[in-house]
Amino acid sequence: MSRDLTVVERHLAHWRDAGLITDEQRRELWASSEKLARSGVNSVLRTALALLGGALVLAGLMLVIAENWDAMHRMVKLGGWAVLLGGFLFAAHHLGHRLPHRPALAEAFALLAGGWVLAGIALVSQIYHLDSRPPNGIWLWLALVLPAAWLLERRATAAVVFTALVAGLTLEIQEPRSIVYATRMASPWLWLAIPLLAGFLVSLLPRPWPSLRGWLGLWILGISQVFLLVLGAFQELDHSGLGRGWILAAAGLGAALAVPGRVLPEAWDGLTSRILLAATLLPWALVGARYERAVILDNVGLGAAWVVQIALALLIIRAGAKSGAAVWVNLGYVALLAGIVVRYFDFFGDFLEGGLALTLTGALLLFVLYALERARRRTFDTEAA
Amino acid sequence: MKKIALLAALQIGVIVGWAGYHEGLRANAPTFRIPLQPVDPYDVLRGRYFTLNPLDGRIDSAALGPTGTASVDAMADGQQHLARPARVGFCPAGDVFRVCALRAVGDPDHGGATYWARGYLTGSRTPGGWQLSLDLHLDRFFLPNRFQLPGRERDPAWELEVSHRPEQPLLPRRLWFEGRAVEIGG
Repeated sequence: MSRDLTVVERHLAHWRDAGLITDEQRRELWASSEKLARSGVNSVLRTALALLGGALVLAGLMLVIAENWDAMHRMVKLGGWAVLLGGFLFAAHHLGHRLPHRPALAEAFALLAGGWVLAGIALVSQIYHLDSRPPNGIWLWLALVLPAAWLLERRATAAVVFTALVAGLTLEIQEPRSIVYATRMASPWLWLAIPLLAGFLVSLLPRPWPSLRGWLGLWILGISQVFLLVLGAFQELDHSGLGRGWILAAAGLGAALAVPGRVLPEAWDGLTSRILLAATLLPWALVGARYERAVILDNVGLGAAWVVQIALALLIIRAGAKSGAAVWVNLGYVALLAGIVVRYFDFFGDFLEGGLALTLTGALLLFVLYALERARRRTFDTEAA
Repeated sequence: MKKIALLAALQIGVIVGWAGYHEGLRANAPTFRIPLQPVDPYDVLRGRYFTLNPLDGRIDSAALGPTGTASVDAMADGQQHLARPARVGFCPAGDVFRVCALRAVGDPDHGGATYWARGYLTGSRTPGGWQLSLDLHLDRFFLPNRFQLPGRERDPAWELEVSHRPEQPLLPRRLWFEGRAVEIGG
């Protein structure tokens, strides 16, 4: 008996015992559910076989094309690309109208259509051996995909636009002749600013990508923690020289500080978002061009990195607890643990020789894990109360 | 449905139109050959390719004749280092064409070369003239993965036939080896 039928049988027995249905009704309802379950099994089997068959046909077609790709005339390649793009766009539109309550397939085709435009650009550049500044291809991709945000009515387009913006801006800052050429990337400025700027611009589209703010928050927190820990422990990733990249840094950070609600997670209130961004960059603002051991201000910046890393972890825990978002509470505690472990090995690593030292380290780590887990549960309990 | 048709027309139209422009160039633009020093690596997104490395990618201004250094001096405007777009003149040298003149973009002088194209010049002043790197925007030539090259990449007999558009960057057309066009197909 399937799991569904087991549940149905239990509920039917309960309703009969409660006097809600008669024994006759129980039998009739059971027979009806059994028929439904049988057809469901058949439907699942049919769908699975259809998907398997479809996947095999697709794989076979791809292999045939791959084996004969070199022999295909360039017009055939372009024509095939055009037909497929038309097919993907039509499928995204048609499935969206046909299955309005199950948009995943339509969104998948919209994503495929967006990526397929880039494949077309790569195809033309391959056929005619074209070469240009690497960002140019991405900007052309963005220009061609952007109208889809209004014409295709699917949220996946926002994901494609975001990807194109991040890729284009990242390539642009690496081009020596670009107006936003960045001499160095060994600091968090552009690692934060580029996704934030892309996220802000995508938030202006008619159908933004709902999960983007969460993913951006995850990225921002991750980058913040990694850079602060590495600067604090190893004094690496300390170069702040941005060259002309300061234009992008200013734009991205400015947008996020001005309207954090557009780019950063809902669970982070405006103050939390602004403090997190500003505090992450504070050590680099103090360190200046790069860290130098003899400079007092640079050492203040280094100390700030130690403090800010832990403070931001606590800030995220607080924000997550206040908004009821467990994921941010958990990530905050992970960041706290990372900070404690890194600080411990940073200060005492040179003295950890021998079995006794390692045993004590292990015991301390277990204690810290226990204490943090207790604190984490208390955080959830407090919020539940 | 009209919106989808419009979107498809836009995206397909631009890509196919772009390809059509290059087909037109292939059919109608004048061509000439330049010598290469190629390398044969692999690109993850677009497949196997030849790094073309034109022979005139590095030149000494003194080799451009009596006016070579003077023309680069004019472009450098008193500086010891140079980085700017330039007009690149090509003159016949046997079966191929070599760089024989450099002018600033906008300089109306068309003398001294058969074809003029666009490139990017970087270099430094030396006692004898200028040591220059010339980017002709001819970086890669894509090859089918299983294509067998007729010669080794380091052979000196590799040439590239380019399509010429006046005052614009050259476009790769065909590879040549030992005076014969390499037929790749597609």
